[in-house]
Amino acid sequence: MNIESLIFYGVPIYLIVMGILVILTTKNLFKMLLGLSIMDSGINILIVALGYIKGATAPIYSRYPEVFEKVVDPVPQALVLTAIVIGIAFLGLGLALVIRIKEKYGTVNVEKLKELKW
Amino acid sequence: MVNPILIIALLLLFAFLMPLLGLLHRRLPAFATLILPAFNLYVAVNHFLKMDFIPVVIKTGGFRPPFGINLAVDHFSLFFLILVNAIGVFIALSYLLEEQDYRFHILFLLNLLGASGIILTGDLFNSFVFLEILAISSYALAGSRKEKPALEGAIKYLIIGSIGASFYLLGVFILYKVTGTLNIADIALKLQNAKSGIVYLAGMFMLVGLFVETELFPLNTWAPDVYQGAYNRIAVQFSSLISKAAIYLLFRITFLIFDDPLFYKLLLVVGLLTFVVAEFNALAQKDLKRMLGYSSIGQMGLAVLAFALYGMISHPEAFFAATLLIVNHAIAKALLFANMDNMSENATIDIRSVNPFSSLMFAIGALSVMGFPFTLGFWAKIEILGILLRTNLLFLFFLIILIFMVEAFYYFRVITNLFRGETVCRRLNPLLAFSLVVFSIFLVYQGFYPIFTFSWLNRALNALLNKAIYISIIAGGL
Repeated sequence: MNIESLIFYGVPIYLIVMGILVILTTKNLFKMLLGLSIMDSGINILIVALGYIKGATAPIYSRYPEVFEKVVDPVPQALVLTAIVIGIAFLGLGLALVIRIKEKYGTVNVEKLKELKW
Repeated sequence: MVNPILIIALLLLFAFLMPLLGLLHRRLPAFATLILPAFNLYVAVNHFLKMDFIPVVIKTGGFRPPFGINLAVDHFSLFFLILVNAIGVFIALSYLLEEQDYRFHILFLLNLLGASGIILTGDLFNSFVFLEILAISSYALAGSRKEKPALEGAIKYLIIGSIGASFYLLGVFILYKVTGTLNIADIALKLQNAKSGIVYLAGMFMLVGLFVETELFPLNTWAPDVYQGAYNRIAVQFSSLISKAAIYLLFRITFLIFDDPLFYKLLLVVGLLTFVVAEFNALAQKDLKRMLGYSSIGQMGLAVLAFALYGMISHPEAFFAATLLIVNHAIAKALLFANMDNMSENATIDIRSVNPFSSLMFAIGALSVMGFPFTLGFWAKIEILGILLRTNLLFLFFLIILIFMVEAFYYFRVITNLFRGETVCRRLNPLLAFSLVVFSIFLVYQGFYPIFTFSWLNRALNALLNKAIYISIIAGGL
Protein backbone atom coordinates (compact mmCIF):
# COMPACT_ATOMS: atom_id res chain seq x y z
CA MET A 1 0.00 0.00 0.00
CA ASN A 2 1.78 3.13 -1.17
CA ILE A 3 1.03 6.63 -0.04
CA GLU A 4 -0.93 7.49 -3.17
CA SER A 5 -3.53 4.77 -2.85
CA LEU A 6 -3.71 5.50 0.85
CA ILE A 7 -4.84 9.00 0.00
CA PHE A 8 -7.15 7.92 -2.84
CA TYR A 9 -8.95 5.26 -0.85
CA GLY A 10 -8.25 6.35 2.72
CA VAL A 11 -9.75 9.82 2.52
CA PRO A 12 -13.13 8.80 1.05
CA ILE A 13 -13.43 5.84 3.42
CA TYR A 14 -12.65 8.19 6.32
CA LEU A 15 -15.39 10.53 5.09
CA ILE A 16 -17.89 7.66 4.78
CA VAL A 17 -17.14 6.41 8.28
CA MET A 18 -17.33 9.93 9.70
CA GLY A 19 -20.68 10.49 8.01
CA ILE A 20 -22.12 7.28 9.44
CA LEU A 21 -20.76 8.14 12.90
CA VAL A 22 -22.40 11.56 12.75
CA ILE A 23 -25.73 10.00 11.78
CA LEU A 24 -25.52 7.46 14.58
CA THR A 25 -24.41 9.76 17.38
CA THR A 26 -26.17 13.06 16.84
CA LYS A 27 -29.64 13.84 18.12
CA ASN A 28 -30.14 16.79 15.81
CA LEU A 29 -32.01 16.06 12.56
CA PHE A 30 -30.22 18.86 10.72
CA LYS A 31 -26.81 17.49 11.69
CA MET A 32 -27.98 14.03 10.63
CA LEU A 33 -28.62 15.37 7.14
CA LEU A 34 -25.15 16.95 7.18
CA GLY A 35 -23.73 13.55 8.09
CA LEU A 36 -25.57 12.03 5.15
CA SER A 37 -24.11 14.68 2.90
CA ILE A 38 -20.57 13.98 4.15
CA MET A 39 -21.07 10.28 3.54
CA ASP A 40 -22.36 11.00 0.05
CA SER A 41 -19.30 13.10 -0.77
CA GLY A 42 -17.08 10.30 0.48
CA ILE A 43 -18.78 7.80 -1.79
CA ASN A 44 -18.54 10.13 -4.78
CA ILE A 45 -14.83 10.70 -4.22
CA LEU A 46 -14.29 6.97 -3.82
CA ILE A 47 -16.02 6.30 -7.14
CA VAL A 48 -13.87 8.83 -8.99
CA ALA A 49 -10.79 7.35 -7.31
CA LEU A 50 -11.79 3.87 -8.53
CA GLY A 51 -11.55 5.10 -12.13
CA TYR A 52 -8.19 6.81 -11.72
CA ILE A 53 -5.20 5.65 -13.75
CA LYS A 54 -1.78 6.84 -12.70
CA GLY A 55 -0.32 9.56 -14.88
CA ALA A 56 -3.37 9.83 -17.13
CA THR A 57 -5.10 13.04 -18.15
CA ALA A 58 -8.72 14.11 -18.19
CA PRO A 59 -10.90 12.20 -20.69
CA ILE A 60 -11.42 15.09 -23.10
CA TYR A 61 -11.19 14.64 -26.86
CA SER A 62 -8.04 16.08 -28.34
CA ARG A 63 -6.59 16.41 -31.82
CA TYR A 64 -3.18 15.27 -30.66
CA PRO A 65 -3.18 11.49 -30.33
CA GLU A 66 -0.34 11.43 -27.80
CA VAL A 67 -2.53 13.36 -25.35
CA PHE A 68 -5.51 11.18 -26.13
CA GLU A 69 -3.57 8.00 -25.52
CA LYS A 70 -3.67 7.88 -21.77
CA VAL A 71 -6.86 9.10 -20.11
CA VAL A 72 -8.62 8.10 -16.90
CA ASP A 73 -11.81 6.01 -17.04
CA PRO A 74 -14.58 8.44 -18.08
CA VAL A 75 -17.52 6.27 -16.96
CA PRO A 76 -17.25 6.86 -13.18
CA GLN A 77 -16.78 10.57 -13.73
CA ALA A 78 -19.87 10.79 -15.91
CA LEU A 79 -21.97 8.72 -13.54
CA VAL A 80 -20.80 10.51 -10.41
CA LEU A 81 -22.41 13.65 -11.83
CA THR A 82 -25.75 11.86 -11.79
CA ALA A 83 -25.09 10.66 -8.25
CA ILE A 84 -24.28 14.23 -7.14
CA VAL A 85 -27.55 15.53 -8.60
CA ILE A 86 -29.49 12.76 -6.87
CA GLY A 87 -27.70 13.59 -3.62
CA ILE A 88 -28.75 17.22 -3.88
CA ALA A 89 -32.35 16.17 -4.53
CA PHE A 90 -32.60 14.13 -1.36
CA LEU A 91 -30.76 16.74 0.69
CA GLY A 92 -33.20 19.42 -0.45
CA LEU A 93 -36.17 17.23 0.26
CA GLY A 94 -34.76 16.29 3.65
CA LEU A 95 -34.22 19.92 4.61
CA ALA A 96 -37.77 20.74 3.56
CA LEU A 97 -39.04 17.94 5.79
CA VAL A 98 -36.88 19.16 8.69
CA ILE A 99 -38.34 22.67 8.30
CA ARG A 100 -41.85 21.23 8.41
CA ILE A 101 -40.98 19.16 11.48
CA LYS A 102 -39.57 22.26 13.16
CA GLU A 103 -42.85 24.07 12.43
CA LYS A 104 -44.98 21.26 13.86
CA TYR A 105 -42.94 20.17 16.85
CA GLY A 106 -40.86 23.28 17.56
CA THR A 107 -37.73 21.14 17.81
CA VAL A 108 -35.34 19.16 15.62
CA ASN A 109 -34.18 16.88 18.42
CA VAL A 110 -34.93 13.26 17.57
CA GLU A 111 -35.49 12.29 21.18
CA LYS A 112 -38.38 14.72 21.46
CA LEU A 113 -40.18 13.33 18.40
CA LYS A 114 -42.12 10.65 20.19
CA GLU A 115 -45.36 10.43 18.29
CA LEU A 116 -44.81 6.92 17.01
CA LYS A 117 -42.31 4.82 18.87
CA TRP A 118 -42.85 1.04 19.09
CA MET B 1 -46.12 -3.94 -30.60
CA VAL B 2 -45.45 -0.71 -28.74
CA ASN B 3 -41.87 -0.13 -27.70
CA PRO B 4 -41.67 -0.52 -23.90
CA ILE B 5 -39.37 2.49 -23.67
CA LEU B 6 -42.51 4.56 -24.19
CA ILE B 7 -43.60 3.48 -20.71
CA ILE B 8 -40.69 5.39 -19.21
CA ALA B 9 -40.78 8.28 -21.68
CA LEU B 10 -44.50 8.98 -21.39
CA LEU B 11 -44.50 8.82 -17.59
CA LEU B 12 -41.67 11.34 -17.49
CA LEU B 13 -43.29 13.56 -20.11
CA PHE B 14 -46.61 13.67 -18.30
CA ALA B 15 -44.92 14.29 -14.96
CA PHE B 16 -43.44 17.41 -16.54
CA LEU B 17 -46.71 18.39 -18.23
CA MET B 18 -48.74 18.04 -15.05
CA PRO B 19 -48.69 21.74 -14.01
CA LEU B 20 -49.87 22.66 -17.50
CA LEU B 21 -52.67 20.10 -17.40
CA GLY B 22 -53.66 21.45 -14.01
CA LEU B 23 -54.01 24.92 -15.53
CA LEU B 24 -56.21 23.65 -18.36
CA HIS B 25 -58.70 21.90 -16.14
CA ARG B 26 -58.53 20.97 -12.50
CA ARG B 27 -59.70 17.40 -13.18
CA LEU B 28 -57.21 16.75 -15.97
CA PRO B 29 -54.20 15.64 -13.81
CA ALA B 30 -56.28 12.94 -12.13
CA PHE B 31 -57.39 11.56 -15.50
CA ALA B 32 -53.83 11.61 -16.81
CA THR B 33 -52.70 9.56 -13.82
CA LEU B 34 -55.38 7.01 -14.67
CA ILE B 35 -54.63 6.83 -18.41
CA LEU B 36 -50.86 6.35 -18.10
CA PRO B 37 -50.83 3.23 -15.89
CA ALA B 38 -53.65 1.84 -18.02
CA PHE B 39 -51.55 2.38 -21.14
CA ASN B 40 -48.54 0.75 -19.44
CA LEU B 41 -50.71 -2.16 -18.43
CA TYR B 42 -51.88 -2.57 -22.02
CA VAL B 43 -48.30 -2.51 -23.34
CA ALA B 44 -47.10 -4.97 -20.72
CA VAL B 45 -49.94 -7.45 -21.24
CA ASN B 46 -49.60 -7.19 -25.00
CA HIS B 47 -45.88 -7.99 -24.82
CA PHE B 48 -46.43 -10.75 -22.31
CA LEU B 49 -48.90 -12.54 -24.57
CA LYS B 50 -47.10 -12.03 -27.88
CA MET B 51 -43.46 -12.30 -26.90
CA ASP B 52 -41.34 -15.35 -27.56
CA PHE B 53 -39.43 -17.18 -24.94
CA ILE B 54 -36.33 -15.13 -25.76
CA PRO B 55 -35.74 -11.85 -23.92
CA VAL B 56 -35.89 -8.66 -25.97
CA VAL B 57 -33.16 -6.06 -25.74
CA ILE B 58 -34.10 -2.46 -26.39
CA LYS B 59 -31.13 -0.31 -27.23
CA THR B 60 -31.13 3.29 -26.16
CA GLY B 61 -28.67 5.64 -27.82
CA GLY B 62 -27.78 3.21 -30.57
CA PHE B 63 -25.18 1.14 -28.74
CA ARG B 64 -25.44 -2.60 -28.50
CA PRO B 65 -25.14 -4.00 -25.00
CA PRO B 66 -22.81 -4.31 -23.07
CA PHE B 67 -22.16 -0.70 -24.13
CA GLY B 68 -24.65 2.03 -23.47
CA ILE B 69 -27.83 1.65 -21.50
CA ASN B 70 -30.33 -0.96 -22.54
CA LEU B 71 -33.70 -2.22 -21.45
CA ALA B 72 -33.94 -5.99 -21.05
CA VAL B 73 -37.48 -7.29 -21.26
CA ASP B 74 -38.43 -10.87 -20.57
CA HIS B 75 -41.55 -12.52 -19.19
CA PHE B 76 -40.42 -12.15 -15.59
CA SER B 77 -39.97 -8.39 -15.87
CA LEU B 78 -43.23 -8.08 -17.79
CA PHE B 79 -45.02 -10.03 -15.08
CA PHE B 80 -43.88 -7.56 -12.44
CA LEU B 81 -44.62 -4.66 -14.77
CA ILE B 82 -48.18 -5.92 -15.10
CA LEU B 83 -48.48 -6.27 -11.32
CA VAL B 84 -47.09 -2.81 -10.55
CA ASN B 85 -49.16 -1.05 -13.19
CA ALA B 86 -52.32 -2.91 -12.21
CA ILE B 87 -51.82 -1.50 -8.71
CA GLY B 88 -51.23 1.91 -10.31
CA VAL B 89 -54.55 1.66 -12.17
CA PHE B 90 -56.22 0.53 -8.96
CA ILE B 91 -55.00 3.56 -7.02
CA ALA B 92 -55.68 6.05 -9.81
CA LEU B 93 -59.16 4.70 -10.47
CA SER B 94 -60.17 4.48 -6.81
CA TYR B 95 -59.25 8.08 -6.07
CA LEU B 96 -60.16 9.56 -9.46
CA LEU B 97 -62.88 11.82 -8.07
CA GLU B 98 -60.89 13.00 -5.10
CA GLU B 99 -59.71 16.61 -5.14
CA GLN B 100 -55.92 16.59 -5.12
CA ASP B 101 -53.16 19.05 -5.77
CA TYR B 102 -51.49 18.42 -9.15
CA ARG B 103 -48.13 18.12 -7.35
CA PHE B 104 -49.45 14.99 -5.75
CA HIS B 105 -50.05 13.49 -9.20
CA ILE B 106 -46.52 14.40 -10.28
CA LEU B 107 -45.16 12.40 -7.36
CA PHE B 108 -47.45 9.49 -8.18
CA LEU B 109 -46.24 9.40 -11.79
CA LEU B 110 -42.58 9.67 -10.75
CA ASN B 111 -43.12 6.84 -8.32
CA LEU B 112 -44.62 4.68 -11.05
CA LEU B 113 -41.75 5.72 -13.32
CA GLY B 114 -39.19 4.57 -10.79
CA ALA B 115 -40.96 1.26 -10.28
CA SER B 116 -41.37 0.58 -14.02
CA GLY B 117 -37.80 1.66 -14.71
CA ILE B 118 -36.32 -0.66 -12.10
CA ILE B 119 -38.24 -3.51 -13.65
CA LEU B 120 -37.36 -2.76 -17.26
CA THR B 121 -33.72 -1.76 -17.07
CA GLY B 122 -30.82 -4.04 -17.90
CA ASP B 123 -28.15 -1.74 -16.55
CA LEU B 124 -26.94 -1.64 -13.00
CA PHE B 125 -26.29 2.08 -12.70
CA ASN B 126 -29.57 2.82 -14.40
CA SER B 127 -31.28 0.65 -11.80
CA PHE B 128 -29.70 2.84 -9.10
CA VAL B 129 -31.06 5.97 -10.77
CA PHE B 130 -34.57 4.51 -10.99
CA LEU B 131 -34.29 3.27 -7.42
CA GLU B 132 -33.50 6.82 -6.33
CA ILE B 133 -36.40 8.24 -8.38
CA LEU B 134 -38.64 5.72 -6.65
CA ALA B 135 -37.16 6.48 -3.23
CA ILE B 136 -37.16 10.27 -3.43
CA SER B 137 -40.73 10.43 -4.71
CA SER B 138 -41.81 8.07 -1.96
CA TYR B 139 -40.10 10.18 0.74
CA ALA B 140 -42.10 13.12 -0.55
CA LEU B 141 -45.31 11.07 -0.68
CA ALA B 142 -44.77 9.79 2.85
CA GLY B 143 -44.34 13.34 4.11
CA SER B 144 -47.16 14.81 2.03
CA ARG B 145 -49.63 14.71 4.92
CA LYS B 146 -48.85 17.70 7.08
CA GLU B 147 -49.35 15.92 10.37
CA LYS B 148 -46.93 14.81 13.00
CA PRO B 149 -46.90 11.01 12.48
CA ALA B 150 -46.50 11.32 8.70
CA LEU B 151 -43.59 13.76 8.97
CA GLU B 152 -41.84 11.65 11.53
CA GLY B 153 -42.16 8.50 9.44
CA ALA B 154 -40.98 10.36 6.35
CA ILE B 155 -37.81 11.76 7.91
CA LYS B 156 -36.91 8.36 9.35
CA TYR B 157 -37.48 6.80 5.95
CA LEU B 158 -35.42 9.49 4.23
CA ILE B 159 -32.40 9.02 6.47
CA ILE B 160 -32.41 5.22 6.39
CA GLY B 161 -33.27 5.17 2.69
CA SER B 162 -30.45 7.44 1.60
CA ILE B 163 -27.88 5.50 3.61
CA GLY B 164 -29.13 2.34 1.90
CA ALA B 165 -29.02 3.94 -1.55
CA SER B 166 -25.46 5.15 -0.98
CA PHE B 167 -24.39 1.64 -0.13
CA TYR B 168 -26.13 0.33 -3.23
CA LEU B 169 -24.20 2.84 -5.36
CA LEU B 170 -20.93 1.82 -3.71
CA GLY B 171 -21.67 -1.84 -4.44
CA VAL B 172 -22.45 -1.03 -8.08
CA PHE B 173 -19.12 0.70 -8.53
CA ILE B 174 -17.10 -2.00 -6.84
CA LEU B 175 -18.66 -4.43 -9.34
CA TYR B 176 -17.78 -2.00 -12.13
CA LYS B 177 -14.18 -1.89 -10.95
CA VAL B 178 -14.00 -5.70 -10.85
CA THR B 179 -15.71 -6.46 -14.16
CA GLY B 180 -15.36 -3.25 -16.19
CA THR B 181 -19.03 -3.18 -17.18
CA LEU B 182 -22.36 -2.05 -15.81
CA ASN B 183 -24.64 -4.31 -17.85
CA ILE B 184 -26.35 -6.80 -15.52
CA ALA B 185 -26.10 -9.73 -17.92
CA ASP B 186 -22.50 -8.94 -18.78
CA ILE B 187 -21.52 -8.74 -15.12
CA ALA B 188 -23.26 -12.05 -14.54
CA LEU B 189 -21.29 -13.55 -17.44
CA LYS B 190 -17.97 -12.28 -16.11
CA LEU B 191 -18.59 -13.33 -12.53
CA GLN B 192 -20.00 -16.77 -13.40
CA ASN B 193 -16.93 -18.71 -12.39
CA ALA B 194 -14.61 -16.46 -10.46
CA LYS B 195 -15.95 -14.70 -7.39
CA SER B 196 -13.38 -12.90 -5.29
CA GLY B 197 -13.81 -11.51 -1.80
CA ILE B 198 -14.43 -8.02 -3.12
CA VAL B 199 -17.44 -9.28 -5.07
CA TYR B 200 -18.94 -10.59 -1.82
CA LEU B 201 -18.39 -7.16 -0.29
CA ALA B 202 -20.13 -5.50 -3.25
CA GLY B 203 -22.99 -7.98 -2.96
CA MET B 204 -23.43 -7.24 0.74
CA PHE B 205 -23.50 -3.49 0.04
CA MET B 206 -26.07 -3.83 -2.73
CA LEU B 207 -28.35 -6.21 -0.84
CA VAL B 208 -28.23 -4.03 2.27
CA GLY B 209 -29.17 -1.07 0.10
CA LEU B 210 -32.17 -2.97 -1.18
CA PHE B 211 -33.24 -4.10 2.31
CA VAL B 212 -34.52 -0.59 2.96
CA GLU B 213 -37.03 -0.52 0.12
CA THR B 214 -38.03 -4.15 0.56
CA GLU B 215 -38.66 -3.53 4.27
CA LEU B 216 -36.36 -6.23 5.57
CA PHE B 217 -35.43 -6.60 9.18
CA PRO B 218 -32.63 -4.37 10.40
CA LEU B 219 -33.57 -1.48 8.11
CA ASN B 220 -37.36 -1.48 8.30
CA THR B 221 -37.99 0.65 11.39
CA TRP B 222 -39.37 3.41 9.16
CA ALA B 223 -42.02 1.20 7.56
CA PRO B 224 -44.65 0.95 10.35
CA ASP B 225 -44.45 4.70 10.97
CA VAL B 226 -44.96 5.47 7.30
CA TYR B 227 -47.84 3.01 7.03
CA GLN B 228 -49.54 4.51 10.05
CA GLY B 229 -48.90 8.15 9.23
CA ALA B 230 -49.46 8.40 5.50
CA TYR B 231 -52.75 8.67 3.63
CA ASN B 232 -54.39 5.36 2.82
CA ARG B 233 -53.68 5.62 -0.89
CA ILE B 234 -50.01 6.11 -0.12
CA ALA B 235 -50.01 3.14 2.21
CA VAL B 236 -51.36 1.12 -0.75
CA GLN B 237 -48.50 2.43 -2.83
CA PHE B 238 -45.92 1.47 -0.23
CA SER B 239 -47.19 -2.03 0.36
CA SER B 240 -48.09 -2.98 -3.20
CA LEU B 241 -46.00 -0.91 -5.58
CA ILE B 242 -42.76 0.39 -4.09
CA SER B 243 -41.71 -2.69 -2.16
CA LYS B 244 -42.73 -4.96 -5.04
CA ALA B 245 -40.54 -3.16 -7.55
CA ALA B 246 -37.64 -3.26 -5.10
CA ILE B 247 -38.06 -6.96 -4.44
CA TYR B 248 -38.00 -7.58 -8.19
CA LEU B 249 -34.55 -6.00 -8.28
CA LEU B 250 -33.48 -8.05 -5.27
CA PHE B 251 -34.56 -11.27 -6.98
CA ARG B 252 -33.02 -10.32 -10.31
CA ILE B 253 -29.58 -9.32 -9.11
CA THR B 254 -29.31 -12.03 -6.48
CA PHE B 255 -30.30 -14.67 -8.98
CA LEU B 256 -28.16 -13.41 -11.86
CA ILE B 257 -25.07 -11.94 -10.22
CA PHE B 258 -24.84 -13.09 -6.60
CA ASP B 259 -25.96 -16.66 -7.14
CA ASP B 260 -24.00 -18.01 -4.21
CA PRO B 261 -24.93 -19.98 -1.03
CA LEU B 262 -23.54 -17.23 1.17
CA PHE B 263 -26.02 -14.65 -0.07
CA TYR B 264 -28.89 -17.10 0.11
CA LYS B 265 -27.97 -17.87 3.70
CA LEU B 266 -27.96 -14.16 4.48
CA LEU B 267 -31.36 -13.74 2.83
CA LEU B 268 -32.72 -16.77 4.67
CA VAL B 269 -31.71 -15.41 8.06
CA VAL B 270 -32.88 -11.88 7.28
CA GLY B 271 -36.18 -13.09 5.82
CA LEU B 272 -36.89 -15.35 8.78
CA LEU B 273 -36.04 -12.63 11.30
CA THR B 274 -38.20 -10.10 9.45
CA PHE B 275 -41.10 -12.53 9.33
CA VAL B 276 -40.95 -13.55 12.99
CA VAL B 277 -40.29 -10.10 14.47
CA ALA B 278 -42.85 -8.32 12.33
CA GLU B 279 -45.66 -10.81 12.97
CA PHE B 280 -45.14 -10.73 16.72
CA ASN B 281 -45.04 -6.94 16.61
CA ALA B 282 -48.29 -6.93 14.63
CA LEU B 283 -49.86 -8.96 17.42
CA ALA B 284 -49.03 -6.24 19.93
CA GLN B 285 -50.40 -3.28 17.95
CA LYS B 286 -53.50 -1.29 18.82
CA ASP B 287 -53.71 0.86 15.72
CA LEU B 288 -55.26 -1.01 12.79
CA LYS B 289 -53.15 0.58 10.05
CA ARG B 290 -49.96 0.01 11.99
CA MET B 291 -50.94 -3.63 12.44
CA LEU B 292 -51.49 -3.95 8.69
CA GLY B 293 -48.11 -2.30 8.15
CA TYR B 294 -46.35 -4.85 10.32
CA SER B 295 -48.19 -7.60 8.52
CA SER B 296 -46.88 -6.18 5.21
CA ILE B 297 -43.32 -6.31 6.50
CA GLY B 298 -43.88 -9.89 7.63
CA GLN B 299 -45.15 -10.96 4.21
CA MET B 300 -42.11 -9.43 2.51
CA GLY B 301 -39.93 -11.38 4.94
CA LEU B 302 -41.74 -14.60 4.09
CA ALA B 303 -41.32 -13.97 0.36
CA VAL B 304 -37.58 -13.42 0.77
CA LEU B 305 -37.42 -16.53 2.95
CA ALA B 306 -39.05 -18.62 0.21
CA PHE B 307 -36.69 -17.13 -2.38
CA ALA B 308 -33.67 -17.97 -0.22
CA LEU B 309 -35.00 -21.52 0.19
CA TYR B 310 -34.99 -21.77 -3.59
CA GLY B 311 -31.33 -20.81 -3.61
CA MET B 312 -30.40 -23.30 -0.89
CA ILE B 313 -32.20 -26.36 -2.22
CA SER B 314 -32.93 -25.25 -5.80
CA HIS B 315 -36.54 -26.36 -5.89
CA PRO B 316 -38.21 -24.13 -8.50
CA GLU B 317 -41.42 -24.48 -6.45
CA ALA B 318 -39.91 -22.27 -3.75
CA PHE B 319 -39.36 -19.47 -6.24
CA PHE B 320 -42.89 -20.03 -7.49
CA ALA B 321 -44.20 -19.71 -3.94
CA ALA B 322 -42.20 -16.53 -3.34
CA THR B 323 -43.57 -14.83 -6.44
CA LEU B 324 -47.11 -16.04 -5.83
CA LEU B 325 -46.86 -14.69 -2.29
CA ILE B 326 -45.82 -11.32 -3.66
CA VAL B 327 -48.74 -11.22 -6.10
CA ASN B 328 -51.19 -12.24 -3.41
CA HIS B 329 -49.80 -9.76 -0.94
CA ALA B 330 -49.82 -6.88 -3.43
CA ILE B 331 -53.47 -7.42 -4.28
CA ALA B 332 -54.73 -8.26 -0.80
CA LYS B 333 -52.90 -5.40 0.90
CA ALA B 334 -54.09 -2.93 -1.74
CA LEU B 335 -57.59 -4.11 -0.87
CA LEU B 336 -57.03 -3.79 2.89
CA PHE B 337 -55.35 -0.37 2.91
CA ALA B 338 -57.75 1.16 0.38
CA ASN B 339 -60.65 -0.24 2.40
CA MET B 340 -59.40 1.75 5.40
CA ASP B 341 -60.93 4.78 3.67
CA ASN B 342 -64.37 3.38 4.51
CA MET B 343 -63.53 3.17 8.19
CA SER B 344 -63.04 5.91 10.70
CA GLU B 345 -59.79 7.81 11.03
CA ASN B 346 -57.31 6.23 13.46
CA ALA B 347 -59.27 2.98 13.60
CA THR B 348 -58.05 0.63 16.32
CA ILE B 349 -58.23 -3.14 16.35
CA ASP B 350 -61.39 -2.93 18.48
CA ILE B 351 -63.24 -1.15 15.69
CA ARG B 352 -66.94 -1.96 15.90
CA SER B 353 -68.93 0.39 13.76
CA VAL B 354 -68.45 0.00 10.04
CA ASN B 355 -70.70 -0.67 7.10
CA PRO B 356 -71.14 -4.32 6.14
CA PHE B 357 -69.53 -3.78 2.74
CA SER B 358 -66.21 -2.74 4.17
CA SER B 359 -66.27 -5.50 6.79
CA LEU B 360 -66.70 -7.97 3.96
CA MET B 361 -63.84 -6.43 1.96
CA PHE B 362 -61.61 -6.44 5.04
CA ALA B 363 -62.46 -10.09 5.67
CA ILE B 364 -61.62 -11.17 2.11
CA GLY B 365 -58.33 -9.28 2.10
CA ALA B 366 -57.33 -10.54 5.54
CA LEU B 367 -58.23 -14.13 4.73
CA SER B 368 -56.14 -14.01 1.60
CA VAL B 369 -53.14 -12.53 3.42
CA MET B 370 -53.28 -15.20 6.11
CA GLY B 371 -53.69 -17.93 3.49
CA PHE B 372 -57.16 -19.20 4.28
CA PRO B 373 -58.38 -21.94 1.91
CA PHE B 374 -60.26 -20.75 -1.20
CA THR B 375 -58.22 -17.58 -1.48
CA LEU B 376 -55.12 -16.94 -3.56
CA GLY B 377 -52.88 -16.75 -0.49
CA PHE B 378 -53.67 -20.34 0.42
CA TRP B 379 -51.81 -21.71 -2.63
CA ALA B 380 -48.68 -19.72 -1.85
CA LYS B 381 -48.51 -20.72 1.80
CA ILE B 382 -49.35 -24.38 1.23
CA GLU B 383 -46.55 -24.47 -1.35
CA ILE B 384 -44.00 -23.15 1.15
CA LEU B 385 -45.09 -25.62 3.83
CA GLY B 386 -45.00 -28.46 1.32
CA ILE B 387 -41.43 -27.67 0.31
CA LEU B 388 -40.32 -27.50 3.94
CA LEU B 389 -41.89 -30.90 4.61
CA ARG B 390 -40.41 -32.53 1.53
CA THR B 391 -36.92 -31.29 2.32
CA ASN B 392 -37.23 -32.29 5.98
CA LEU B 393 -36.68 -28.81 7.36
CA LEU B 394 -38.98 -29.62 10.25
CA PHE B 395 -37.80 -26.90 12.63
CA LEU B 396 -38.52 -24.23 10.05
CA PHE B 397 -41.81 -25.94 9.22
CA PHE B 398 -43.13 -25.79 12.78
CA LEU B 399 -41.81 -22.26 13.33
CA ILE B 400 -43.62 -21.01 10.24
CA ILE B 401 -46.81 -22.85 11.22
CA LEU B 402 -46.62 -21.10 14.59
CA ILE B 403 -46.22 -17.70 12.95
CA PHE B 404 -49.13 -18.43 10.60
CA MET B 405 -51.23 -19.09 13.68
CA VAL B 406 -50.16 -15.78 15.21
CA GLU B 407 -51.10 -14.08 11.95
CA ALA B 408 -54.48 -15.81 11.82
CA PHE B 409 -55.11 -14.86 15.45
CA TYR B 410 -54.65 -11.12 15.07
CA TYR B 411 -56.58 -10.96 11.82
CA PHE B 412 -59.50 -13.01 13.15
CA ARG B 413 -59.61 -10.78 16.23
CA VAL B 414 -60.33 -7.79 14.01
CA ILE B 415 -62.71 -9.68 11.72
CA THR B 416 -64.87 -10.90 14.61
CA ASN B 417 -64.96 -7.38 16.05
CA LEU B 418 -66.06 -6.03 12.69
CA PHE B 419 -68.89 -8.50 12.27
CA ARG B 420 -70.13 -8.35 15.84
CA GLY B 421 -70.30 -4.57 15.93
CA GLU B 422 -73.17 -2.35 14.93
CA THR B 423 -73.56 -1.41 11.29
CA VAL B 424 -73.45 2.17 10.12
CA CYS B 425 -74.49 3.52 6.78
CA ARG B 426 -71.70 5.59 5.35
CA ARG B 427 -71.57 7.02 1.86
CA LEU B 428 -69.09 5.01 -0.16
CA ASN B 429 -66.91 6.35 -2.90
CA PRO B 430 -68.42 4.45 -5.89
CA LEU B 431 -65.17 4.10 -7.84
CA LEU B 432 -63.30 2.90 -4.78
CA ALA B 433 -66.04 0.39 -4.07
CA PHE B 434 -65.89 -0.81 -7.68
CA SER B 435 -62.13 -1.41 -7.65
CA LEU B 436 -62.33 -3.07 -4.22
CA VAL B 437 -64.95 -5.47 -5.57
CA VAL B 438 -62.81 -6.26 -8.63
CA PHE B 439 -59.77 -7.08 -6.51
CA SER B 440 -61.71 -9.16 -3.99
CA ILE B 441 -63.41 -11.14 -6.76
CA PHE B 442 -59.99 -11.76 -8.28
CA LEU B 443 -58.64 -13.08 -4.95
CA VAL B 444 -61.55 -15.42 -4.35
CA TYR B 445 -61.91 -16.59 -7.94
CA GLN B 446 -58.18 -17.33 -8.17
CA GLY B 447 -58.44 -19.12 -4.84
CA PHE B 448 -60.96 -21.54 -6.31
CA TYR B 449 -59.50 -21.83 -9.74
CA PRO B 450 -55.92 -20.53 -9.86
CA ILE B 451 -55.07 -21.72 -13.40
CA PHE B 452 -54.80 -18.18 -14.77
CA THR B 453 -52.31 -16.92 -12.17
CA PHE B 454 -50.36 -20.18 -12.21
CA SER B 455 -49.88 -20.29 -15.97
CA TRP B 456 -48.73 -16.67 -16.18
CA LEU B 457 -46.45 -17.14 -13.22
CA ASN B 458 -44.94 -20.28 -14.73
CA ARG B 459 -44.20 -18.44 -17.94
CA ALA B 460 -42.53 -15.66 -15.98
CA LEU B 461 -40.41 -18.05 -13.94
CA ASN B 462 -39.40 -20.08 -17.00
CA ALA B 463 -37.97 -16.90 -18.45
CA LEU B 464 -36.09 -16.06 -15.26
CA LEU B 465 -34.73 -19.51 -14.50
CA ASN B 466 -33.16 -19.87 -17.94
CA LYS B 467 -30.22 -17.78 -16.91
CA ALA B 468 -27.99 -18.95 -19.77
CA ILE B 469 -30.38 -17.75 -22.44
CA TYR B 470 -30.79 -14.37 -20.77
CA ILE B 471 -27.07 -13.86 -20.46
CA SER B 472 -26.21 -15.07 -23.94
CA ILE B 473 -28.89 -12.98 -25.64
CA ILE B 474 -28.12 -9.77 -23.81
CA ALA B 475 -24.43 -9.89 -23.07
CA GLY B 476 -23.35 -11.93 -26.08
CA GLY B 477 -25.31 -9.87 -28.57
CA LEU B 478 -22.30 -8.22 -30.13
